[in-house]
Amino acid sequence: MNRVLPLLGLILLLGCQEQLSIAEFEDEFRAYRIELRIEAILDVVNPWDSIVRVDRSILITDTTLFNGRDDDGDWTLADDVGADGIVGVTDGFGPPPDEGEGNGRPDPGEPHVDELDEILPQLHDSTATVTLVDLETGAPVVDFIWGSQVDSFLVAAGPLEAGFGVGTDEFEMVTYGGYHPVAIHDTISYDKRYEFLIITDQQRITGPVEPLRPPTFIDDLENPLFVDTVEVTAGSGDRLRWRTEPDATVVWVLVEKVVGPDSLEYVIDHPAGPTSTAQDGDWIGEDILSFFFPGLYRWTVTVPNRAYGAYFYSNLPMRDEQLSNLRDDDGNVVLGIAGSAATRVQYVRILENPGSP
Amino acid sequence: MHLLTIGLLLAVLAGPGPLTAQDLGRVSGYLRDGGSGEPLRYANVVLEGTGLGAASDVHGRYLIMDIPPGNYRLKVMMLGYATKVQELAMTPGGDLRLDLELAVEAISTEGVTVTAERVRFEQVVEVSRVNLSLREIKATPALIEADLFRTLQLMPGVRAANDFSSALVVRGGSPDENLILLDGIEVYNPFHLGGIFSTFNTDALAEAEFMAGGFPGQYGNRNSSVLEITSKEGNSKGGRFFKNSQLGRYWNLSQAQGEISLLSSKLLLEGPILNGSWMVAWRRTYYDQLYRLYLSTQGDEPLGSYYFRDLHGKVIYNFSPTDRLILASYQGRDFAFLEVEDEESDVGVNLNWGNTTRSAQWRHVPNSRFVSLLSLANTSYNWDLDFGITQMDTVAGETSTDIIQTVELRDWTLKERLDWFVSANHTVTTGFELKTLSMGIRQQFGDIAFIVQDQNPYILSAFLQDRWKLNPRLSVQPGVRLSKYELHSNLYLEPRLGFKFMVTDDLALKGSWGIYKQFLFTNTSDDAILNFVDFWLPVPKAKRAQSAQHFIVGLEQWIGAGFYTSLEAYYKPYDNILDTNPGNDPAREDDDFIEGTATAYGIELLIKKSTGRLSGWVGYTYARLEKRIDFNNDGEIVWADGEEYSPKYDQPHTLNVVAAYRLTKKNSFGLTVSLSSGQPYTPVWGKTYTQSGLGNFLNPYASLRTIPGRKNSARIPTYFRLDVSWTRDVRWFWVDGKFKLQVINATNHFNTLIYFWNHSRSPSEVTAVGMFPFLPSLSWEFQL
Repeated sequence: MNRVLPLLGLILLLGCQEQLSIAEFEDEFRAYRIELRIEAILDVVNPWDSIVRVDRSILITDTTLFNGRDDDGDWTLADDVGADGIVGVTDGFGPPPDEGEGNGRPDPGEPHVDELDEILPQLHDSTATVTLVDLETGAPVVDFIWGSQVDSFLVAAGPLEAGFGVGTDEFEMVTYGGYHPVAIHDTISYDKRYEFLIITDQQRITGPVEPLRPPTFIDDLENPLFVDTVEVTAGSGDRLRWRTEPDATVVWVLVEKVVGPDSLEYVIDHPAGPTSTAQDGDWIGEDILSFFFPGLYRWTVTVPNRAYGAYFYSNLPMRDEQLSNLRDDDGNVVLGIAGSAATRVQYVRILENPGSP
Repeated sequence: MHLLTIGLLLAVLAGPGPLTAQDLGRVSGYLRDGGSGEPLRYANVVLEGTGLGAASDVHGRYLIMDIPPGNYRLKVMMLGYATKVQELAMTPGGDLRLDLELAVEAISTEGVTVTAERVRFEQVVEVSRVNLSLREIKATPALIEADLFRTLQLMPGVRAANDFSSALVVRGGSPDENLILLDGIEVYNPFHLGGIFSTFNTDALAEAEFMAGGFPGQYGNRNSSVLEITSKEGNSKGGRFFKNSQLGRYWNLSQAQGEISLLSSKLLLEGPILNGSWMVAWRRTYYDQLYRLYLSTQGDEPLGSYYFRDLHGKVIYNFSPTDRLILASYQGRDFAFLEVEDEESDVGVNLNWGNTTRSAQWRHVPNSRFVSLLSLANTSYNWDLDFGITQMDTVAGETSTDIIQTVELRDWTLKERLDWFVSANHTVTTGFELKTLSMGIRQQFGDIAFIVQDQNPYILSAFLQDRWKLNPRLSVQPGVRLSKYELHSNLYLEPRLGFKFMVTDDLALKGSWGIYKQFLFTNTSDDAILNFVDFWLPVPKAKRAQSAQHFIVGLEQWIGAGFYTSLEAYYKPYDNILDTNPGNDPAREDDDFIEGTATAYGIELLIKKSTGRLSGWVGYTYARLEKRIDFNNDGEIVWADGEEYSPKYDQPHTLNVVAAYRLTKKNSFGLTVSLSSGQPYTPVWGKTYTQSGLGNFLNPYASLRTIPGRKNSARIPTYFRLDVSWTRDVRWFWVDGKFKLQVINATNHFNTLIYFWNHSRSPSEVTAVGMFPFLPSLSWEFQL
């Protein structure tokens, strides 16, 4: 209890809150109509991994999606932690039990209630016709088809623990639907410009794509690395470096630890900008390896093309004429982005430093 | 430009005065409080029966010129002081020096100035100016402690971004457009605790002069306003110790004054030194210590802590009646730390930030016609973050990582200001300012250091202005400032012109026009609520200096001693204002900011009464602000794209009533009422799933986000706040003092700060977070 007293002042201020009726804001959102948000991503290295996500936006007044029920039946009594999703405590090291906690039934805000695998199927638009075309010739390059389970990701799923060690050990795989390649008519060329064409029953939406090459991992002399696994000593200050084209803006880095055959453990992911310029004008990015413990790691570095990178770096803006390149036939901005991504992987083994205690 | 040229030409042609000028004499000197030795600012000095007179300046200096030979009675008047009359004999062409001290009148209990503005009203061209005395600042109800910035925010044309910010928003300008000068030295980020309190300890202050616009050429590198704060010189009278010792000639203590409030403890010490005076003011918050003490009784340690302190010192040494050396130093710092540990890791965050100023000033008055002030000052602002994490790993053992970030702005300034009293009708002020800046942002990850930014531009400026009384009814003040900014190849010319026309003896028409340039700015978003640190940046090489023009016209009605009303209208177009580029390409360094324009305009009414049992002011402001920023960089400003919008500071109507009433000799009350239009905000239209923050390819549905409507097209409800205070003179523990009870937001009116939407409910839920609720506080101010 004593240790949380400094937070009381903050809580006092935060306590100055009023729950308002959304009716007070009705004038602001009354005219809004549901629209599409699209992410159309061409995978340059593995075109079969390309994906187009087409989802509907949600009205403020929607009363169906977040219904406060366990629609897929995976809620258990362990999830009965109330609206804040946190296990309430009485020792002062966290929030006390809140509304709905321990009442024996699912409530809004509790784990496994209104979760993504219940919501997403209701948001996906599966009625579109999606094609990647050559912008010069108009010829189709990749045909896409709807699939209800085209990709997946892991999310934390269990109750959060109170106190400073907030966290959960429970993860759940969420699969989602989208459009994936069904036929590839031509190889993807870095010298060509393409366009995603997405046709729904109400709109014809286009978004241009100018693919970029994947990154090249390099040594200190800027020569390409030709080793499967780079070996460095922990704490040595060594860096893993990669080169990207001048048109690249940011990269996305995923670091995973190899914990067994075909078994990877997520370590960190982060966006990164270039740290210097190569002699030929390419960009050089890098990660500092001394931040990692000894072990075998896999670095996955993905380069979005210029438009996708700018959108990515600008925090995914909602409706920006400059940063979103999707348009309908009337020239209106459509939420989302069309872009390409090019990925390359490098393994790094960080060796124990014999000099460390 | 033409007006300036004509003005300067006329100023030269006007010459030094009538042909008999050599027969006319002058009398000048300093006026001081007989009890403390502090300068008497803005006192009236007249030669009885002549119509000749002057007002003393901020240093207590007065000058009456063009006095025919003869015998006179010099009369000095100041509210709160006994009138002083001094006989003088003026010889042909005489130049008399007459320093005088006035005794505090028995009925007055304040040892500070009450501004006597009549002579200034008649003689000085001053547009958009208000003076606040320490008495007025202290009489205004405030959050826990009196605060200069909070009081200024109640003036017409000035407002706060919100209750949690003491930053000044002046006529639509962002806080970085205000020049804050402490005894002539620039202070860059004058705030504590993320802006909730200003950095100045009011006990150490003597006077604040605030110019909301139209400021003359001696001030530059800011587009909106100037706040000149003058600190106390220190009580040079009545040393308490060493009365029979030689030591008492060299150093003594005259007065100690302090205050204990719910926020901090303050102490002010002052006294004489040989041929001068000294002053030290100290303040520190002590919540952290009380908390630590409490925890120690429970056998525990705090996880985090926060406090701020400031120390302000000043020493004045008079070499001779004509030469004075002023050494001053100010340091204000905030400290915060947080440490979280468990069996596997230990995370610590240490933060400290603040301002330091040091200055030496030489004031030289060779004769009554010239006053020179040469200053050398060093002012700096820095912000240090140290984030450390120590982890235990079964393979690697204990590993530590340190992330250090340092933001620093260091400013060395050499400047000279020369006042030349050419004649009774002409005062020419000229000078220069050389500012060398060092602005750096550095980061260190472990042993690897990065320099994110390191720039060291200089700014060299010179100025010339003339206060010229064309006839008894019309005064003008033409001026010009010329600046060289190192990163730009061109010279910047900033002409300024002010005028005052006495329509009747008690009604003045006044106006001002000027061009203003700014070479430094902060990258703080207009929408920031709490801002712990402002990153000051030089205007990039590829961008032009931020620029504004001021067009101001107004009427000022003298109602009586210390009682006047003022009505002003302003129009302030901006050019080249810099905003963060939302489409910034991280691979390019020259596209971090985009340029735009803005227009601010408004009308301000002030009725102010500084004397009597009831004092205070009523201020009403009608103000508008529009910004035009080409956010998507397509060469067009499109309203529908939110590129032409009302920024957060666009609040059309503001009414402030500030009143102080002395009920009895021992009891007084204060009241403040603030009523203003709500701030604009961007409405919520809908919601959609996206990736998180800066994007994450793993989970494209990580975040449920708002689909916004047009930028700032909605407005939060009207703001209302009533603050009250009661002050009672008390004698506790054999010590004289004042007990003060203050209540902020006495009606507990809910003033919305921001809306939070919870989209993971059907329908979405919305919560309004409010500003200050009902907040009472107590303090005890004592004087030894």
